[in-house]
Amino acid sequence: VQRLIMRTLTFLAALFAAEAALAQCTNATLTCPATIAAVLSADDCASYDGSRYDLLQFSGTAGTTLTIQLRSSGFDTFLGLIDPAGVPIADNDDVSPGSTDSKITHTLGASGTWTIVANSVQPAVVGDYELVVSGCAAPGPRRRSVRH
Amino acid sequence: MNGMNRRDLITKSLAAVALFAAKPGSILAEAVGIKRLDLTPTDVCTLTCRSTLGPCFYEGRVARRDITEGQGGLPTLLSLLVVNADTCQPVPGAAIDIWHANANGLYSAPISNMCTDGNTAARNSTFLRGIQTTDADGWAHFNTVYPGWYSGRTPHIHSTVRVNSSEMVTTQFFFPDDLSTKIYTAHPAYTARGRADTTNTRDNVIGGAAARVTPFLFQPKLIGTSQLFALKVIAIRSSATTCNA
Repeated sequence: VQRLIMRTLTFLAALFAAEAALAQCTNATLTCPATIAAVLSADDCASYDGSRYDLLQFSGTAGTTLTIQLRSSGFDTFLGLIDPAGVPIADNDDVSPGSTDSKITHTLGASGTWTIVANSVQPAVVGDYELVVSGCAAPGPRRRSVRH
Repeated sequence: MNGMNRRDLITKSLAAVALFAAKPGSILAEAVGIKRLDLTPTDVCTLTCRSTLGPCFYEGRVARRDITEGQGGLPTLLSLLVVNADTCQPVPGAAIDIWHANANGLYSAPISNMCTDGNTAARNSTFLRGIQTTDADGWAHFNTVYPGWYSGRTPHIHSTVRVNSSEMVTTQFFFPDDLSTKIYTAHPAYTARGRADTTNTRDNVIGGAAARVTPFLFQPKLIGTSQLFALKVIAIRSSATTCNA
């Protein structure tokens, strides 16, 4: 029982810490679809490697297939996606060998608040970027199978 | 910037950014410059050298992306890109087998007690082990937690890459020491055990000059102390042309 209590407390502490970190660095709440022009700046939150990042949140429905694009001419982009439980679920450095922009196409596995990480590959670089979230239509209702 | 001029961007930004209070939008210039695959710019296609398999391998061969089995720890996404070291082209269809210790430094599976510390629950589990196959672009992803440490070893993740069932390389990947320290002293799943007792340069497998470990380091993107994106390129050749770490 003691171990169970300790594990529960540990889990809750981690959850609160995760939520606090997300809240601290979250710059926007998006309504999908969205096209955002923004700037990565020196006063943004910093990753371990010294790169700056913005966190942008949106409400997503399970089963929706989204495309998220991060583009910049000022820096090499890195794009991440975090699910409502705080699990990093997808990322992308370069959309193709010929581009330093980033793109994620992902089918949401859960409904809730999802978080986009808009980041640079290199440390300490700043600059303008564009974020596009598209494909936001929620899946239609499931047909109920009828047993004859 | 394709398909969008400045006026469009301003219009869309103003419409969509109603809640975007903290940071005013600004305009992007047209994309210029030479583009390249630059995840790790200097060594992306340098052959990945082999390292010891270690005693904690288990022939489980479970194909799954989420290998956590409920293990606590810093949620971590491992993104691994397999490339051909000669052509520098992505390798689709490569099977990547990974295994590592949990936040308490224990491996799973009915293997040597030195790996599980004789822990029954660990021996009866298969946590933090799994296989994924690279996609058409050469990528494979694992949802896991940041590995814990155990005495004498720096935090690490084991990996074997196979193509058409032939082993290409078995090796181990590492994290920067100060990243591990930050996580072990800040994340509640690790703080009770504190910082690792072994650094990369003192590790009994990869230890030595700092430059020796560099090719095996993940590129980490730590979000607060809440999530980690860790990326690594694995460059392979046939097993006849391997190098040793």
